[in-house]
Amino acid sequence: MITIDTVLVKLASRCNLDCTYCYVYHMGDDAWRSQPGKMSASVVDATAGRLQKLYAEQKHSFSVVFHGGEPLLIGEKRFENVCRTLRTALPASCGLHLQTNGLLLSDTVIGICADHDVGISISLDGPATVHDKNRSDRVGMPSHNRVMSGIRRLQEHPAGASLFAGVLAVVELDSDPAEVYAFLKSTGAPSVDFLYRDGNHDVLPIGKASPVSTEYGDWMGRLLKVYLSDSTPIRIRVLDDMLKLLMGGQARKEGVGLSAYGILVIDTDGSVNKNDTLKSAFAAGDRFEKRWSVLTDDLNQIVSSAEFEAYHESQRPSCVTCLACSDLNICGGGMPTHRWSRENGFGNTSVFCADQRRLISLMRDHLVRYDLVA
Amino acid sequence: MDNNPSHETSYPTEVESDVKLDNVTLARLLEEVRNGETVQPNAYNRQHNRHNR
Repeated sequence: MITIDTVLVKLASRCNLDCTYCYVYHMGDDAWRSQPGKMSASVVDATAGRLQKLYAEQKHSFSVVFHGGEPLLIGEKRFENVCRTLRTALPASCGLHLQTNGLLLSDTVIGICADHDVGISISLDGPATVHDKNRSDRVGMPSHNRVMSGIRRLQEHPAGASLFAGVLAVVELDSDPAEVYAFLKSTGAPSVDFLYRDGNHDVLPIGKASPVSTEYGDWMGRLLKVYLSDSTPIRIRVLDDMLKLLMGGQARKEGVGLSAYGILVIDTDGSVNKNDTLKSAFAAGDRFEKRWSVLTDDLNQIVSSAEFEAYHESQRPSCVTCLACSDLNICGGGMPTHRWSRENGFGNTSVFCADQRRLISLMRDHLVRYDLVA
Repeated sequence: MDNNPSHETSYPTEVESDVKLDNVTLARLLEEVRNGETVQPNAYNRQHNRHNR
């Protein structure tokens, strides 16, 4: 049976920010409009029961990520119930994790996370000039100051250092990677991960002139140089994973390398869906044909179904260019959503293929100096 | 696709013996590759400290 390693639980379908690049609200999928704003207690209970059974049968730990929209819009009282219910249902080996924009990261929320061992990752794109370019609230006000207040509260909490998993940044091509890295490091985050702007072959990511241009690869190459020059570095997850693959190791990040990953998404109404990033390919791209729900369906049966297996199989690149590429074991063909075109479906290279090959080439240049290329 | 790769990884002999690689990040990553898994606390993996990708 396919092993599930990540379960995204959508605690809220709405957000208190209105980020320009958001794949949930600004890339053509409007499913959030028909979702309940918040996950109800009955759906939380059903989710916990289904996940408990999933763990019992697959006997492999997975991570539960509280996600949205903005998950903390569920409210402090309900959030405490979610954490307590899932922590009770699942063994300690299953990580609970909160991905938040940080605006509602109150002392109460941090205390709840400490009580139930919930790791916290915060979305932050860099200094205010970079972050506020795209991450305004719903009335157009900048959010950077409020995010930083949340980070300070987290750092001041006695358990803050152990709870703070890192920051998640979306690449802003107009920014200076050295400035972004230095700022994110200054927050005290132990780790940072960078995401590219979502896009595909029909709708190019912001800043890419064409599928063969390398704007993102060039930006990441500059970041790589800064990273490898730092004598006291924090971790950059995507670069670490790619470098380790080049050194003969393994990666854990979706869209990098060829290790299989298993992701389930549970929406606020309890429906079970595919990786939500597929929304950015086309409307309802994250929907199974069968309308599964934790209220009515067993997760093991869902994961064992032919439709789920086909979805899982789709993470493997299928286009001939990828299959013949010497860098395939490093880039893994990228995220499925970035391979999309109306003409070929997901049977393309990633729209970031040229960027990733550029970055891999730069990585090899660095590793060769130390004779570290496997 | 191999879900649980168990292939042997070879490293250049001179690097194996040179544990004082002068690049902090590459030295850490080499150590992790040798150990077959991330061992550092606060490191991302797919069971802990995950975001959505």
